[in-house]
Amino acid sequence: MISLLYTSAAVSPPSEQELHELLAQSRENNAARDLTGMLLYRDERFFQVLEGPEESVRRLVETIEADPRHARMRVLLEEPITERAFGEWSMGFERMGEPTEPLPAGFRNSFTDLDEGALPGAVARAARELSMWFRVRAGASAETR
Amino acid sequence: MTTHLVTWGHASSKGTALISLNDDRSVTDVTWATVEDGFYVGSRTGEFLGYIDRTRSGSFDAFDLVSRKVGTFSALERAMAALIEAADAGPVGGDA
Repeated sequence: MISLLYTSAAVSPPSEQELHELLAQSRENNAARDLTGMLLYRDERFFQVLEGPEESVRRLVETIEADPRHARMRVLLEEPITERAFGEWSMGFERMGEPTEPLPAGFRNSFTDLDEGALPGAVARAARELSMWFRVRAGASAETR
Repeated sequence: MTTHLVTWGHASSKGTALISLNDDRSVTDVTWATVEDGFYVGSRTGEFLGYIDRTRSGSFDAFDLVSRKVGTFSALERAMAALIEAADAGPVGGDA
């Protein structure tokens, strides 16, 4: 199995209805393909983790690349896995609000580290930070799985 | 879901935050990051230390790498120090 994190821009900000339709489609497709993962929507960008059989992940990535709702898709992290981090979610979903506070002194911004040009180690760490955030928030949210 | 292990990646040594612990040790190898306002994650040399979640009352709940609560603290710096101490020597209590 592999785990893959990508980011893409929403071509146009999706409505609530469109987000629900996207998630419903994603969950149905993922269940059929033995895929699990999470989807974050923040500042008109998607951040999605896909995990499962390598061939299934790669096929889905190709499908997403061709999806007109996504633009500027970029794979941020890809690695082999032996256990799923999101085995309980066919496709968990969370919205993340815009930051309004300055960073505490000495702190990094996880999303800055995911941006193009960040060092690979920083990208991997930021991906782990997002993963943790998702798990914490999803545990307290009704709109998951 | 309250307990889980995170297996991804390795920490970078860049952007480390300097904090002082009660025994005057200085910890410079911990990377602290903000995921969203009030949600902070600490990592050290490839190891995930845990996270800190600010509560509605303004205190800071600290959780270790498997989401066990380390304590509730009145200041972010105290929560950061507690997470490091918990990683080094086991869980500690809060001050709030």
